[in-house]
Amino acid sequence: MAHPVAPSHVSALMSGVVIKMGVYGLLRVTIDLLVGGPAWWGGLVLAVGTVSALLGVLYALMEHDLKRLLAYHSVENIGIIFIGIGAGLMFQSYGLIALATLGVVSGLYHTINHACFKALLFLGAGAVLHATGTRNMEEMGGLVKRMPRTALFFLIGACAIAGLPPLNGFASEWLVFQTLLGGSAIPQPEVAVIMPIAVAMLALTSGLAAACFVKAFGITFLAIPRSREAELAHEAPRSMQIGMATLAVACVGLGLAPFMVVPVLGSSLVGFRGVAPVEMAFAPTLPLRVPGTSGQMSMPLLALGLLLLLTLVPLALRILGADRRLRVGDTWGCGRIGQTPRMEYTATAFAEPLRRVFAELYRPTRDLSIDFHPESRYFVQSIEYRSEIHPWIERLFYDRPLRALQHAAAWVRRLQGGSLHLYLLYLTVAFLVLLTVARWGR
Amino acid sequence: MEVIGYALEVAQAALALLLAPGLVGLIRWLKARLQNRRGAPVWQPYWELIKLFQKEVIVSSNASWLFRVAPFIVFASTVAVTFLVPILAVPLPFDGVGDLLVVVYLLLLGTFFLALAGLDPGSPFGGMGASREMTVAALAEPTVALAIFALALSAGSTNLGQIVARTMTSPGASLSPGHLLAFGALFIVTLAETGRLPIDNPATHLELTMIHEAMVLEYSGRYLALIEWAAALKLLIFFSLLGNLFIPWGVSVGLTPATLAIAVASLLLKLVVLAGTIAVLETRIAKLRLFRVPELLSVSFVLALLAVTSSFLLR
Repeated sequence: MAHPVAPSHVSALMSGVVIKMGVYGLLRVTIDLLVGGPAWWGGLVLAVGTVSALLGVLYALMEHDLKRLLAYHSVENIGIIFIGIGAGLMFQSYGLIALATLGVVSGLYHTINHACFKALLFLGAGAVLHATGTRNMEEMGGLVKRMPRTALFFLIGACAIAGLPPLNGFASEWLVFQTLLGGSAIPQPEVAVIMPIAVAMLALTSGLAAACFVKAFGITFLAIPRSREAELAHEAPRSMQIGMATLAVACVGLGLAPFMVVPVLGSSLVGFRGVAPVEMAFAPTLPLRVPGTSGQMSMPLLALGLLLLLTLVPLALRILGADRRLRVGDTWGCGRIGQTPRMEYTATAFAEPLRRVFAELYRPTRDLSIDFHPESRYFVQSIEYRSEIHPWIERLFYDRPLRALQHAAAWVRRLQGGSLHLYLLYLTVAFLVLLTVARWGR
Repeated sequence: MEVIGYALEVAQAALALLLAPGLVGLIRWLKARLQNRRGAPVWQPYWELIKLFQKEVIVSSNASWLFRVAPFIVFASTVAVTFLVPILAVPLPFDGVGDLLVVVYLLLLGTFFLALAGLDPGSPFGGMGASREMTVAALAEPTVALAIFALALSAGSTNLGQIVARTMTSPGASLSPGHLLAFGALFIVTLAETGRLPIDNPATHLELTMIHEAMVLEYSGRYLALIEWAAALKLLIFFSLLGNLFIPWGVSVGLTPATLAIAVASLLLKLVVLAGTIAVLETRIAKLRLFRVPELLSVSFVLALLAVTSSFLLR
């Protein structure tokens, strides 16, 4: 993957813009060039999206290189986009135009949202890399006090990508969910199996994404620094802060105003066959009334309510006379005095329960060597533990086909002998074969 | 009418806030009686909350502003949910502000910040709790989504008011296999999300077994009071979801004083029955090993999947 290696602002562009070309290409081909394919096309896109979303987030959970973690989340989010588009294509082939539009729009909405929060997160990771000189989360910690603004922006991005209300990630995931729930409009038994599984996998993906960003933010920014570099970290320069602030505002704005964004996205589909401009009544309260599904929620009112409660609760505490004293003390350590970073939970430890749960998928390699004291096995001198995870999916779907392709290419290269006579022979043979085929075919 | 609706929303939230600690107290008292103990009185949690609100807060020197903000976010997001869930009546004026998906993700918002706050003081307990809590929350998520799907299929909407109204108009629906299976699935999820046995033990302070308690170990004073209150409220929310989505009778439709009185009475009855079930369950079973929790959650997942496919095919 090129994402983690490139400079961070380039990573932001790659993840935010460049990989969206795939989405664009898919949409061009499926809703413009080859309109009205069979239902299994949509099903295939949906399946690929589901698998990609789940695998992306699962590998992200095991990743402790901050930028690689974000790159795996791009895999996840493209998967979510594909789920929306795939479901839309399925509906299209069943003639459910309104639901088809909804699916494609939800995919497009998530595309824009992903561009914003992922770019924000990459810029945040860039600021951290700039300040600490490392991408390894296990050497970070305590950055929230050293770079408070970057931390706040990163937190906004983390909440958005984890799909938490009232930010933009939630708005588009909600639409994808509603699209999938509309699957009940198709009276096919296979759909009765596919759609619920897609719903479940999407929910699992978003739950795991939340867990992953607790890890990403918590280990990187919270608690005490785990290395000297992290301890000496400094806030990012103003120019970098402005970039992050702009994107953070975009994340909040896109989340608060789905009723403005969705009609624009819907109107971009006008003119394509199969996704006729359907009047979706997205008023400020976003009542979604598409035949086959009906749900309703309002992002602005939700945000307003949360904000109101957040101001009312401390106010009520003050009025009711709750104690306001606050003392700063040590972290509880069962009577032990003084805390060192070595006592903190690490990123590896944080992800360990999930690694156990999905051990069949990860197939981690473990390497444990313990040096005992020569006198007694009760005294351990040193423990060395190594554990690595190599994504076998990557080997299966990328490495092996690539190697096969290289072999094939090497074999094909033998055709190119460099002699003009040989090429003339090819031409003649090809011509004769074509003539025969043409004749025979008639 | 509008004004009555909004007043009812506020009254409902206030009632939920008021009843929540008592619900926890009731479960504790029932458990104690079942275990041949005298047990603390049902109103004990109220005294505990009052006491905590009057105590000073001790914050770790490692912790940041996030540690001090998180209790308010957890409390606010949980209280926000009480405005969306039909605890007493349908249709509520805020029914269109959020559906069942919003409810689930608002609760996830609270869990997210509580887990971050667990990591903030740098204590291994907090990290352990946060890691486990997020694992359980993530693994419970697909079941919740499928249970929503099953309910939405029969009601034609994910909005809670419509689900309740629909089940009321066709009483047979609540006994359909889809509903029964979804109820089972959501019940297991309730145990997981609210930190009850066999997933988590709310009474333990043994580091190897606790999840939620480990995560909030660093909290004290008013912050702890807010978190405990929010946790009790979450339990009440899940109970009223179980009670009112699947067995909606008693929920007020007409908004007359008489129906509202019935609604309060039926809510209390449902809460007592569910609290009794939890108390019996927690007396009868032991805590599962952490790494066997996913097995239980897979059971609930399978139940939910069966619920969806059966309501799909039996339409």
